[in-house]
Amino acid sequence: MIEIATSSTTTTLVIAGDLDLAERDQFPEIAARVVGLRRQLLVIDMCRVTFMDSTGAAFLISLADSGRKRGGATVLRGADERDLFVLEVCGALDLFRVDRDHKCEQSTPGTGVAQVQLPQRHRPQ
Amino acid sequence: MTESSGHYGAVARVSDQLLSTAIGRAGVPMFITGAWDEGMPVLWVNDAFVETVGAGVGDLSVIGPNPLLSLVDEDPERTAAQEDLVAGRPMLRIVSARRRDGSTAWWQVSVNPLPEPDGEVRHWVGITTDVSEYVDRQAAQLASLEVERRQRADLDLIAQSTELLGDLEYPYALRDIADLLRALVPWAAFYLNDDGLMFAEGVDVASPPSGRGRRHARYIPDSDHLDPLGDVPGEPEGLTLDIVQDLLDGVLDGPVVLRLDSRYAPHSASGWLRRDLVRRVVDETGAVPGTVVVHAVAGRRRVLGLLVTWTGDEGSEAEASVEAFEAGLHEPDHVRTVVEVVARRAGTAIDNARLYAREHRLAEALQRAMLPEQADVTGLDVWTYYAPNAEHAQVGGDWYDVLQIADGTVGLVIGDVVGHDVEAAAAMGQLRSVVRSYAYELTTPGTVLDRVDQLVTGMRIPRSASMVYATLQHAPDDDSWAVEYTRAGHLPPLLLRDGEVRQLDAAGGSLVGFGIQPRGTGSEVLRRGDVLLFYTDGLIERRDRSLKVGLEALVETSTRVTARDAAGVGEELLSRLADAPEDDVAIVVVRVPDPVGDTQVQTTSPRSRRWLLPSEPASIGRARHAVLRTCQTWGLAETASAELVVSELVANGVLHGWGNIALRLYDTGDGLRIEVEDSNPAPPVTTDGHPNRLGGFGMQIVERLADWGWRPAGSGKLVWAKLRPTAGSPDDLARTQERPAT
Repeated sequence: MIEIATSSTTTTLVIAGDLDLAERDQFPEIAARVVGLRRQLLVIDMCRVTFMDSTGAAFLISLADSGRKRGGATVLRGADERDLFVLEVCGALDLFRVDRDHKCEQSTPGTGVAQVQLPQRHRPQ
Repeated sequence: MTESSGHYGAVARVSDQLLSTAIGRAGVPMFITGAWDEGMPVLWVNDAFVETVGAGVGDLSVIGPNPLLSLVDEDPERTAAQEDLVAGRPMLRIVSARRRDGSTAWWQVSVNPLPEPDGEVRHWVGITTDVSEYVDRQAAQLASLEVERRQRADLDLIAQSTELLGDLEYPYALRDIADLLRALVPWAAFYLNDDGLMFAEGVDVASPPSGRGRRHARYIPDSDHLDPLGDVPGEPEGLTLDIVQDLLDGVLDGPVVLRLDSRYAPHSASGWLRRDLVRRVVDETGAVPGTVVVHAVAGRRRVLGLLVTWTGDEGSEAEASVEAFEAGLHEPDHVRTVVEVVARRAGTAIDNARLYAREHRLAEALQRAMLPEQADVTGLDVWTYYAPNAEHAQVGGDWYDVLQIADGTVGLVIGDVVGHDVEAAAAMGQLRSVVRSYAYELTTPGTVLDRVDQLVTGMRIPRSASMVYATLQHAPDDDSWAVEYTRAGHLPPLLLRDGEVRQLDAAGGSLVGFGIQPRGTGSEVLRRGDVLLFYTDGLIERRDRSLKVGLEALVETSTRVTARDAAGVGEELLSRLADAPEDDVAIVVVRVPDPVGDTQVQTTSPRSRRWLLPSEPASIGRARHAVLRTCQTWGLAETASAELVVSELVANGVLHGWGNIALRLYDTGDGLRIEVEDSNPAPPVTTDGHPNRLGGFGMQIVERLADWGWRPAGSGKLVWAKLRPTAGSPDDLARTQERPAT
């Protein structure tokens, strides 16, 4: 699930759940909306992202790339190390300002790393 | 020269009189001529000469200078021979000349100088030999060799083009065939009529079988060589008939010759083709073509496109070309035959490829809609397996459904329509929908099945079917699950508890649609650690044993299952039972997790797992879920990397593969091995990726985390990856909280 919030200078994108091929259908519309808002700063809140692969990364990269072309900046908040690894493999970390000090409000089952409880890990719809 | 000594030697034995008589009577035509400068007048001939040529000295003297040349028809070596004569050297050449009877013959003419004592050559002696037979034989040999060579070349060309037509997925198949044809003609190209003519280097097999389109308006850049012949709109006078459209419509069989110096109506096939052709031929050869020969590329029902060849005439020769074409002299016969064969084969191949692609798309879409689905059920560990036995189809008569009916209520269906052909699959699809709708509406399994019976009787589904329908209701107090079930002619589900196996054989009844009596409902309670096993007869049925023996084998195998996860239970059953299934197989394993017991017992269950996933995006999440759970069961630490690698591999399978995706996991002892198999034989690629293009980095991520490779498997390929426990992996990152050096 992806929510968009705006202030006068900032667009905030709050992403929850998996960011993979299964979510790809909604990417173009969201990208178009974010671009249409024309804010200088884009904050991507990843606190509730459970998983991101190269398809999800490509989506974030396309957002940051179109922001940069207009002279804006993109902040990545609450991304875990694996998300950063994926962005790094994609050669795109430079496109983001990574906010490492951000404390996520709700401690979510981050991805990977045996934090997940049996029988079933939390899977937001 | 030894002439003088020879002369005297001959005189010693033969008189001059005898010598002159002998030469005069010799069977070979001979002659003596004057000097080159005097035009080599014929001074003397022998009898044989007169007899053969039909002319004596008197006849030849009236002709003028070089009288012998007037006898000659063909003289391939004239220049070289004349140089010899001018220089006073002996000369030998082969010429063709007429015999007295009018027939033509080849003569070898040998002319030798007769020098005077002062060295001047004032006379020549000539001898001619009839070599017609030899020349003809040689010519015949050369000709037949040439014909043979040409036939071989033509056959080779046809074979090569047929091979290219075998793979129309290759985007330049038609261009390469046209290139082959350019060994025969100066220029050749294909055009396809997909909603109007277009130049074609390859075939878009995904587009429907076409040949449609009567308005040809695709953009063509301007060319200087078209003016002043531009297609003048709204001026019907002086326009030429649209023969290309006639060819496309099948009114003409073709081939036809298209004049490129005529005017055609705008958007007409001939007009469009003329403009495109002139531009291309001028660009590629520098010459302005006068006419082209157009062959129809015909499919089964309609003409799909055109094969156009230019035989090399220039614009000014168009009129003559048309006449030559009509007289059949425009191009050698074999060229027309080869082009015709290539056009016909191309038509059939394009038609086949497009029809196949259309059927394939249709079948894929319909099958995907019928594939079983597994809802993720909170609080239960569910593993499903579905393997239709038909090689040509992804669906068979077996099916399962795992439905989340409400919070804490799960519906479970397993069923088997008789047969495993397309009709069985269609019946399955209908039946599945019927069961689903009642399952969501009513809860008690017996009631659901009663209603299914009623509806199926009215629907006239052509195949009989068996099934088990069960509901599981969660009791949060003691984390137990109440099971209710009913059976319609189906094998009993098994309940595995503490190494004991019990058949849930209550509530049996006849096949679906034959419920004469009201259906019963059996009940059971599942505790933590219990396993419920639903299956179809494909799992146990073999030709060499009865179903009863098969069921006993399954029960026996089940008692030995030690796995602590549903996928492990399934794996153990499959590895021992379903080595060579003869029928469709569907299995559902439901396990109630035991948070306490599962961690305490070390199992001897094999450390490999498998899943069959439909080719759809939702499968990617399921695959990740599966790998996560498996890593936890096996106590492997690299879960984050494993999740990522599986996600990328399965995503590739969903994006580029066809059919089901098989996922297998192995614990190799020094790292997790992941195998993903799909039905597309094309290898995976690592691309450089582009920020604006989705999905370019998948294999790069895999490459950073694992050793990987691929091999062909069945009709498709298997991609494997073995996780590398190295610095820089996300698991390592998560532990050290450090970023890798980039």
